[in-house]
Amino acid sequence: MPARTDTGDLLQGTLGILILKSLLAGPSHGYGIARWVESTTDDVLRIEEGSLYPALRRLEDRGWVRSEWGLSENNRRARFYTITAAGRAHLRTEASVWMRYANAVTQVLRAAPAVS
Amino acid sequence: MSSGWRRYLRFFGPDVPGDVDDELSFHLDMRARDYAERGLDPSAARHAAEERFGDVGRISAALRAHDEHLVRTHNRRAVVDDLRQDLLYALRSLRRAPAFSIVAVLTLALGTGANTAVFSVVDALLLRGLPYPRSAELVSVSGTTLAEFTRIRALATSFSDVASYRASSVGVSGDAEPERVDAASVSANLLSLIGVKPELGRTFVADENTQGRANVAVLSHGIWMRRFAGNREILGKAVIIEGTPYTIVGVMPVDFAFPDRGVQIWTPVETPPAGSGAFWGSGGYRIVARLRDGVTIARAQQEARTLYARIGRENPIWNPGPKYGTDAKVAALQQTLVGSARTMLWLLLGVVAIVLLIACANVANLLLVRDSNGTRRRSRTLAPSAAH
Repeated sequence: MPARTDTGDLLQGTLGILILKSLLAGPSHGYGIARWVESTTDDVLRIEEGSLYPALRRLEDRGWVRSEWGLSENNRRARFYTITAAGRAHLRTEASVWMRYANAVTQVLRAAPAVS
Repeated sequence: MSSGWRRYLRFFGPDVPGDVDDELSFHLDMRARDYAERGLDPSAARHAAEERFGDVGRISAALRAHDEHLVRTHNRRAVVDDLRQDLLYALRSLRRAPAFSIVAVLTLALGTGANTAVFSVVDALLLRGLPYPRSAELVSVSGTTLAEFTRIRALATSFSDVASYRASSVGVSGDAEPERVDAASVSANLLSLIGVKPELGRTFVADENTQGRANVAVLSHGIWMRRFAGNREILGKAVIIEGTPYTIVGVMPVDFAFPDRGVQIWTPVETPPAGSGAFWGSGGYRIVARLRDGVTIARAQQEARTLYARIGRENPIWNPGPKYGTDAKVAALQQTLVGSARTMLWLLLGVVAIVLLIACANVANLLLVRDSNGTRRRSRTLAPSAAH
């Protein structure tokens, strides 16, 4: 089993970015988002799944996602979330900030002398 | 509750707890199913799903609070929006048809105005008490002669005091143009029984009903202002009533009226000797009394009837017969003063209420007529745009 970071390490903003990114592929319910995060991160970022839902409400309040009720793949009533135009714009900004930050940290860590 | 049934309830507004339950249980069920497919037995799968989810109760409560707040704000905003839209629409359509608006407003204004006018009279005369201190205790007692008044006053135990008055019209002259004013000839205790203090001077004292002492007068605020220019030095001066000088001893306050608004001057009645024909015979007086604490009108009336039987026997001038006083009445003074106007007033109120209803019906008809015209016009103007 790969090493995993603790749920507590995941900042709320980061969770929001993960959700928005997962919704780029198309509308999904909360469980679908959880599965997407799980599979794309190889279960490294194992989030406490319950915290997804308050995060979704916050995104909806800000107008970055909207939701509507529909039927799931196994014909159950489920709430589907869709990313909005504002959500895409927000994701672009946040993603570029993240990339620059990650690059900077990577550069620091790669600088001589080597860490290990 | 099945989710099918909840869909019907949703018609009346969002079912927040149901929706939150649906969303979270869907997640848990799906996760448990995945675990079960990986080989866990159902209860272990369920347990693992809940563990991975976190505190279900806390999260579900947080979501409910959030969603309910959202629904409330949304509803409030919707109500305000609707109201604003309706108001704007109303204003626009009023402005578009000024003639119609004026007719409608006038019709409703007349209906409302008539109702307000009649209701304020009904309110003053029927709904509010008389404008005297503890006016609920004031009653009228049957009786027309000074003898009846004097004997009731002496014998009755139901009343703390009994007074009498007779309305008349007198000529006033001397100090200015002669004029005819409404006056009342009263027992000396009447004004103090009513309980209103004079604005100036005093009301009558007990012996001013005796012959030779009765030439004193109390003025209403109205005649004092009009005829005597509100002169505060008026006390002790004379006013000529029916050719006889009366000494002015007091002025009543501005809002005082008894028995009605027209009365401008009160003078004490000159009581004739107790055994005389005038005492037992001259009528036209009314008797007013104040009930003692805790005495009901019915009990006072019973006592009055008993007393009248005795007064009938006492009459030295003639025998009034066995039926005398058996129908004597004690009634709330307000009822007696308003009298027959009572029925008329209620009737009038009913009439103006119907007038208002008719006004409403007329406006409704106007609206219908105008609307059917408008529909025809609108359907013409809308027709081309229906093409695309």
